Amino acid sequence: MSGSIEPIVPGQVIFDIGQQIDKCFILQKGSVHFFNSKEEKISGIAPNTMFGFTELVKGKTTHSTKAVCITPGTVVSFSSDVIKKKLAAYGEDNKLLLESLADQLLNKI
Amino acid sequence: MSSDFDFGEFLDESNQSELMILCLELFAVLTKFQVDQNKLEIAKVEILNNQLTQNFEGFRSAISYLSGGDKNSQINAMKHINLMVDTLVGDSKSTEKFTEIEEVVNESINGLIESIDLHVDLFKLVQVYNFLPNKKEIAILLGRIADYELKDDEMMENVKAALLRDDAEVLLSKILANVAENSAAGFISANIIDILQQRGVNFHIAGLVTKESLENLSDEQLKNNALLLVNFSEDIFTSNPEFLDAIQSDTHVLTSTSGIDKDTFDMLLLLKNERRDDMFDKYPVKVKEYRVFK
Repeated sequence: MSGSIEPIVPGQVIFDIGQQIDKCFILQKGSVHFFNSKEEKISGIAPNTMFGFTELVKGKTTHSTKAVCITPGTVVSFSSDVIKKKLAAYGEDNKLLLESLADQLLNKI
Repeated sequence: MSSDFDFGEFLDESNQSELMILCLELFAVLTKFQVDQNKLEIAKVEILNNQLTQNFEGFRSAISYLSGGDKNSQINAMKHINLMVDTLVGDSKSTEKFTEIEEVVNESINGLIESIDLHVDLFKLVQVYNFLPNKKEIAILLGRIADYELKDDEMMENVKAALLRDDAEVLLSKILANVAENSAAGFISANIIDILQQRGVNFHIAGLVTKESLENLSDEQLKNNALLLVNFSEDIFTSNPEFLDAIQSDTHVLTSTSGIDKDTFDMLLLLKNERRDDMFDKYPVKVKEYRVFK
């Protein structure tokens, strides 16, 4: 399960609402904004940030936001199985903590 | 052996900077016309032993197959290094190293131009220009000329002469225009490339689309039909022999080229009819869909 480098261009939808989470991403260059189902911007990220995995922490398998590239750059993508394996290895206490953090993020949507 | 992607190690910027420095050192070795095998082996082993390298199977494979006597392996490795250097987040140490290697590359470039003999030398030079931040345009033009794979000595001499001049971009554009005009299999016009680029297709793919592949296709179809980049391993022809037939029946193949990973291909496909989400589900391929032209 190795990583891939992918160029991104403005307007490119990296993932959409309802899409299966099969890959997670690290933004290396450029910027990405996240939108809810009403097409309202809910957040944006800068380089060296991981994204596209929050729902997995809550045990969901599909994206609840749309990620759109705003300025050109690159992402490193990797299989979501990497995150799933890490989550499976967490103890119950840690899992609850992560879930509550994920809740806070997802409730903003 | 590829291991699971270690995002913790990767997110540490000092690790990224360390790998970038190793990539830069290897690039400097490869830039020489006669590659020093000992230096190459040392630089190669350093990269292969780096923790982050294990995270990128295609990159690791390109570096491990690298050989001083095999120019194609050098070009492939340089392509990967350029992508890696453009992607990794650096720090002051890697910035300093970049400046040092940029100087080495600039010093080697005239020797490389004068030594152009085979077509493969042109492709190597494309990667050298691609490395230099202010020479990317030359890399694109040279790449498009090289893609014609012409065996014309006069053209080769003209390219060499153009590259040694200050107005290299202008002269290469003229050579490219001549080559395109004289070639039966001409590449597409700039406005078609614009359509593809606005849909998100990288120039290095859009620039390979030929006029023949667009026969009977309207601009509207190019703008609105689903446009996909499909990456697959050559093994698919054995595991799924019907794959090519399926592609040809449901899509227009705009171009195909070697993928970034060893033994893989990228195909740019325009779907003939309405969207069929499941078209590639049963095949071991990676699919990237481009946006609709606006």
